[in-house]
Amino acid sequence: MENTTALLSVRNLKKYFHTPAGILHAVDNINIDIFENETLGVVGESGCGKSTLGRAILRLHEPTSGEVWFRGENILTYGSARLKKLRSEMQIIFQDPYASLNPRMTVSQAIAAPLIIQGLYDKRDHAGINKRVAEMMETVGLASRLVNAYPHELDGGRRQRIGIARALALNPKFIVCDEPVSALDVSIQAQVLNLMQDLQEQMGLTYMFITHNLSVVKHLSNHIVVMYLGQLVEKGTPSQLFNSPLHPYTRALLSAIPIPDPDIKMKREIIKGELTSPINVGHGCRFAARCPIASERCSKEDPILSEHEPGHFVACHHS
Amino acid sequence: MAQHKDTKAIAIRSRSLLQESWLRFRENKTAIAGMTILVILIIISISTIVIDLVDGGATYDKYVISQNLRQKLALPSAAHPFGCDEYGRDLLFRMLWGARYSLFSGIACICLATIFGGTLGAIAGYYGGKVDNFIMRLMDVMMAVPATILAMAIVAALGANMRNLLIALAIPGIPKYARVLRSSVMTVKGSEYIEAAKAVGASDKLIILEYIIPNAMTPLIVQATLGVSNAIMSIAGLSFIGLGIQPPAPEWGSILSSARTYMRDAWHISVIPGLAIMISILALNLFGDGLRDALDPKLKK
Amino acid sequence: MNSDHVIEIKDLTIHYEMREGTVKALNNVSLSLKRNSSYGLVGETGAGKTTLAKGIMRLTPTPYGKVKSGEILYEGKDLLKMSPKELQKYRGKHISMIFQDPMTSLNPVVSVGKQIEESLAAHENLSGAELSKRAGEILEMVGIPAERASEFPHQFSGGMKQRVVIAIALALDPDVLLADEPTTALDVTIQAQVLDMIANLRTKLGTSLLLITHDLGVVAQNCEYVSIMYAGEIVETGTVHDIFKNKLHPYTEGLFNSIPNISDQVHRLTPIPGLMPDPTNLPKGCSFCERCPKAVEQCKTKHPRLILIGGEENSHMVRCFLYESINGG
Repeated sequence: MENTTALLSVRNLKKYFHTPAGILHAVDNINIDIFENETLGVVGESGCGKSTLGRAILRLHEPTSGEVWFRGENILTYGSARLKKLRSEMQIIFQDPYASLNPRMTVSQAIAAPLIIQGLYDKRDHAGINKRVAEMMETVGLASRLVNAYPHELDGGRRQRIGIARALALNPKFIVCDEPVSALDVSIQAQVLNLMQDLQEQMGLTYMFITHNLSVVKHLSNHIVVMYLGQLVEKGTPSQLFNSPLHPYTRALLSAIPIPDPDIKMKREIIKGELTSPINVGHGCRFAARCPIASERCSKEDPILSEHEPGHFVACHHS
Repeated sequence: MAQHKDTKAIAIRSRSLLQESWLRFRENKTAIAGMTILVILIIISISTIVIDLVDGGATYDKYVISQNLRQKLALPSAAHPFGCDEYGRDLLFRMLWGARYSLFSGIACICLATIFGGTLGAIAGYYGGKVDNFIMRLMDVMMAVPATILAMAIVAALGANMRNLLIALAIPGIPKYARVLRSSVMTVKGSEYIEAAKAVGASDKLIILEYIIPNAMTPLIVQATLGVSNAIMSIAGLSFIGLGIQPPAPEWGSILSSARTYMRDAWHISVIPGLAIMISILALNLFGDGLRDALDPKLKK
Repeated sequence: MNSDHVIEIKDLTIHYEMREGTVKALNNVSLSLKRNSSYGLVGETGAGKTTLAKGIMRLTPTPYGKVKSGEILYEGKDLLKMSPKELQKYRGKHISMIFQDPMTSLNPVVSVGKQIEESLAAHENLSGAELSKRAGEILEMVGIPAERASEFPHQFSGGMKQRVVIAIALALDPDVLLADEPTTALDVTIQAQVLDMIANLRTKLGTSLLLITHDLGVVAQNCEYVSIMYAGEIVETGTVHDIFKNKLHPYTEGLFNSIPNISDQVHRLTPIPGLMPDPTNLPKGCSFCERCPKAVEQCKTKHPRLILIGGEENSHMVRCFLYESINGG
């Protein structure tokens, strides 16, 4: 059932990889809706599949099955020509400011590349391209004198701004932000987060904000989903999740964040052990092996994501 | 958005990666020495070609080819700084005119090898899977044949001229360069900026040509430079056994070959070309090592 | 020399002499670590924290890294004056260090048990059987079953690799453990496990900890004392209460304001504008002056010194002209 009011709707999305050891369930049956001008926070630790989810939605990894509805159409059915056009509406900002820029392209070439590839400007229209590049640089706060600089001459914060300018150059509606500030220093993180917030308001952007840092996502998101080993375990608004987390994993995640106040000694709900393998997962809750309240039922029966209070969903037999 | 203005008003002296590499290269004395020698050799080679064009081969005929038996095996003197060979031909002139064979043939041969090998390697590295498998197994077959023997066989079968020589020497190089470019393409392919290019709708062709190849070229350039020195040695070697450049062309290896008989009495005809070959190869190796160090990405901050 | 302090660093200056200029990584830094206590060292990239830690271990990269002045006293002996042979006796046995990336800290071709044994064998004279037994005990101490001693690093996850690294570091019961961002590369739930483990081990073994991090939360929950570094200097230092409850230096304030706090209802962060100054070209006056909302005229021309303000244990110091009058300075 597609939700006609959401800008982006994902239905039963799966992405499996075939490895010599078996089938890796990277993304398993995800359903989400993101509304226009809103931010969906996608939270989870390494191995939960959040980055793969972001890329699968953009068809940078082709999904194994499921539907992705954007503006009322299932983009998984698009051929290569329509997909190319779609690219100007759905973009991505990467995590690593060092790896996501071509080391041989200047700032201006990097920002101009999408414009030329999508045919918005002709390669020889230097005046037009330069004007647009200058606009983008100003929008993201890059000094105009950096226009011919190379990435290796710039610090992480500036490089990330180039990545943002590149993503915005085509005036997209929807942007997947894959841990865009995790690799930056704290004070630069704040600068870039503010920038992203401002841009969202000014340009009417919709974000899917992927991160492992709950504090960042609380601050920015309208809704949050928590992922574990490829599945959604909890979904709700920031205040629902932070004030009354239902899933044991969400509780453990929240309690693991060190609070910058020496007087508040945190009561840790420390989960034992390590992440179990996403390869050849069988039935039952995938968190069961590490869960402090797991029972027999948990290792046999798959928990279903169900609504607990309006807008607050959890997949747990014990909630 | 005033509050997002970039407040750091420093002047950025923009240096591309190439310029940075050049600065690093400059500091390496042995590499500069190697490069200087190479430049001298290139100048000599080009000059002799120009002279031949200008005077229609007159100098070549008079000094390099024509025999003067009265000067047979003359030792180095003021009139003939390098002495004369067994036909009385001035060795200095022969050496100068011979430079082009070694150098340019070496370069031409490697160019052929890198273009064919590189293309195959890039395709194999980018597409992976069955395509990769097929190409690499083909390369394995080519590598299984010993290079020198293959070269000898080709030349012996098809005739010892320049064209066949180049083909014969390029073939063993193809698998080597294919592997080099394949592995660097595979490394670059996994980079996020390639994903970023795909995310804006870039075609495979654009990605390979404008994103992957420029970033994957470095190991190939270094290997190719070192390969030229190998090629020079091979050409000299083949000429030495009579399968390379044919006399009276003054290729250094064939000069060396004919000097065999006269080694006892005329040291200059063997020592001088031998030294020349050695110095050229040394220069190329030093240059190639310096290039590799200068282009080493680990040194880039 | 205060016998209460296991390491005393006095006026340490380390520069990197590079082609483009001299990077003034560390400038006149003084720090003292008390026995059996934990210190946080906070700063952003380029502040000099790793330079300091590596300097203590005498692992400053050569040939461009030069110690320009200062002393590092371990129990009264200056580490900077020791010969390589003497230093060998200290590293691992008295002072140990662990690094950020567990992936590159371990030798991929040697089993983890063997790597622990190597560390033990370098300092103690034990037989082969005794070495394996001890290595097994140490693994259990960090929560890894002893049977896994024969496995290789790639068979462990990131968190477990870091435990192995910690095991190697603590194998010889050193007095001081230098930890350079040990959990930055780990997931937050694994980080909680590892930091908990370090805290427990410290209690058991009585090791002092110098914890380098950019995460103020980690400092608050794991350290007793903290120093804030900026552009190669310490700009504020004191007990954790002093710094968290009574921030003095504008940079410290700025740092706290830039972090999104779980408990706050903040809708917009207040970042510190600009960037850290170029370490090859440090400004004449205060290094933070350009970005400081409270800068005055003398900040541009004079360099502030560290002044004692008071604080919980009379150890709260700050490097800022705003406070000079307090001390009659």
